[in-house]
Amino acid sequence: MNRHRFMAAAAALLLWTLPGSAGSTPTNPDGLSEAGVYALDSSGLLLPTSPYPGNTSSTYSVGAYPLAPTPLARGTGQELVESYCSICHSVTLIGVQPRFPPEFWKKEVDKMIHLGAPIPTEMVGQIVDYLQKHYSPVKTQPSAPEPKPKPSP
Amino acid sequence: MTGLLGTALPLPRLVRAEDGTGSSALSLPDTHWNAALPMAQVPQKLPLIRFSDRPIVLGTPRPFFDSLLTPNAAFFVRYHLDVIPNAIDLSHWRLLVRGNVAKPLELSFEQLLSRFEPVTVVAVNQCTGNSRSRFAPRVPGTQWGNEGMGNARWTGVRLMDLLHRAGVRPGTVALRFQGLDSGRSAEGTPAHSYAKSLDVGDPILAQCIVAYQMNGEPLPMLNGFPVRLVVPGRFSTCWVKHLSWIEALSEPDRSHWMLEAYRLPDNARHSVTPAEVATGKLATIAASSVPMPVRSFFVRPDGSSKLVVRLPIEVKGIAFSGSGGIRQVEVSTDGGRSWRLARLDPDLGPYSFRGWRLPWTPQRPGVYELRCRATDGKGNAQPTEPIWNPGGYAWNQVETQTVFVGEAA
Ligand code: HEC
Repeated sequence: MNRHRFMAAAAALLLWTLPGSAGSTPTNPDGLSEAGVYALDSSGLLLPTSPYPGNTSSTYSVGAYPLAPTPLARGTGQELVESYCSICHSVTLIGVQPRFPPEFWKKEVDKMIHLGAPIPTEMVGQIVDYLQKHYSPVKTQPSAPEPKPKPSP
Repeated sequence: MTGLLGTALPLPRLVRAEDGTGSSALSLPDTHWNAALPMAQVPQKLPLIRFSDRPIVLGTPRPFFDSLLTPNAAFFVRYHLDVIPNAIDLSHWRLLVRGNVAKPLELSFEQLLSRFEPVTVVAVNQCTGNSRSRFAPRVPGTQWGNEGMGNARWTGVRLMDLLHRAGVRPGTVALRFQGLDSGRSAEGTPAHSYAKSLDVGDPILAQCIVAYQMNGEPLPMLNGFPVRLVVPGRFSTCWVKHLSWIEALSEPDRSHWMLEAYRLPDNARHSVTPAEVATGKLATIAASSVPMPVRSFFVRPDGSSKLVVRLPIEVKGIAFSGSGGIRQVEVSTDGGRSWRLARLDPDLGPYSFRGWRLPWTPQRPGVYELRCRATDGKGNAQPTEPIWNPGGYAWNQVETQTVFVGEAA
C-alpha cells in the first residue's frame, strides 16, 4: 500500500470511529467501541545497526556505536554545561536523573571534579546555576514562579 | 493530506485511565517495572531501554524475562566509562596474569580454549543499583527499574586454574581485575579507568569463571567480548568486561571504585537513614564482597492489559539469591493478607534465576495487588519494608504487581 492510500484508509477509518472513553461509549451492536485511531509519531522507529562481519580475520568489530544525546534544556549556561559535562559522558545523564533539590547539583558538580572533570573554579557557579534552574523541581525556583490559578467564575 | 491527518487524528500519546479522569495517565504499560525511557538499538542487540548513549547503558525489557536464560541480544549493558571497544584483534589480545605471582602469564584466546578445562555455570548478573528508582528519597545514578539484570549460561576457565598456573605468592591481599574499557579523563583520575578487586581470601574466587561463552555463543562485544569475569552470586560491579589484566596485589586496592563507589552500609539489610549518613560515621563494605540479597519478580501478568474475570491464568515469575539458591516463593493476590506457595520450575543451579508459577482465577472484577516473596537457601526472606542507602544499592523489597480484572458480561 502506498503512503497516500494508507493515509486515505486511515482517514476513512476515522469516520466510523466512535469517540469518547470506554465507560461512556454507546455500545455498537458488534461490541466495537473504538477503532482506527492513529497517532503520528516516529519516535518508535529504530534502524538496525549491526554491520555484517564480512571477513574471517582475527579482528572482531561491531562498528561505531550510535550516539544520540538527549539535548539539554535551553538557557544561559547551556553551552558551558555542554562543553564541560560531555567530556566523559554525554549530557543524556543529566536529563535522566530525577529532579533533585538545588543543593544536590552543587554536590554533583563537585563529585564530577573529584572524578576528574577539568572545570575551572570560576566556572562552577555558572554551571551549578544552570543545572539548578533547569534540572531541579520548578517549585523551588524563585525565578520561575508558578502561574496563579485563575479565580473560578 | 498530512496536514489533515495532523489535525484530525486524536493523539493518544497518553493512555487514559478508564475511569475517564485521565489521572493515572501512563505512556508505557508499567512505568514501575521498566523505566519510561526511549529505546535504542546498538550493535548485536535488540532495541533496549536507553539510560545512556555514552557510555552505553541499556536495560532489558520485561518480556525477555519470560525466558529463564536472558537472550544475549537482550542482555542489559552497563558501562561507567565511554571508551568502549569497537573492535578487538585476537591475534594481539592477551589475558595477563601478573603482579605478585611466581610465573606471570600471557594467554591468548586460543590458549584459554585449549589449555584449560572448560567449566559452565548458570548465573545471574545484576547491577548493584538495579531498581534504584524505587529509593525514597531518590538517589543519583542510573535510574533503573528492574531491567539491570540478566541470567546466562557462562562457559570458560576457572579463575583458580589461572591463579594456580601463575602461582600467587604469599603476601598477596587482593586480586585486581581490569578490562579494555577506559575513560577520556586524565590518567590517574577515577574517570580514567575502572578496575575491581576481590580479597585473596574470599571464598567466591573458587566459583569465578573467566568466561568466553555466554549462552553457547561468543560474548556480545557490549557484554565483555572476548572474556569477562563471572562472579556467581555477586553483583555485576566485579564482573569485569573485556577482562585483560588480573593482578595479584600486595597492597589493598584503594581506588575510587573500591573505596568510594559501590559501598554498602555494613548491616544485614544494607539500609540506613539519610540522617545517619549525614553524621558521616557510617560503616560500609564493598558491594563486591557480599552475596546478592534474595529477590523475586512477576513476569506475567505485567499489568499491561486487563485480565478477564473467571478466566484462569498462570502467574509466572523468577527469583534468585546469592545465598544458596531459592527455597520457596510465596504469592499473594490480596495485597499481602494471604499467601500461597508457587510451584518452582526445574533448578538450573544455585546462582540462576529460578522460574516459578501459580495458577490463578480472579473471581471478581476489580483492582488486585499481587505480591511475590522469595526465601533463599539460607532462610533469608525478602523484606516487606523498603531499604534505603545513599548509593541506591541492593534493593530487594517484596514486589507488587497491580492488575485490573474486567467484567466478562
Ligand atoms: C572526568 C569525567 C567526567 C566529567 C567531565 C563529568 N562527569 Fe559526570 N560522571 C562521570 C562518571 C565517571 C560518572 C559515573 C558513571 C557511572 O557510574 O556510570 C558520572 C555520572 C554522572 C551523572 C549520573 C549520576 C551519578 O552521580 O552517577 C550525572 C548526573 C553527571 N555525571 C553529571 C555531570 C555534570 C553535570 C558534569 C559537568 C559539570 C559532568 N557530569 C562532568 C564522569 C564525569
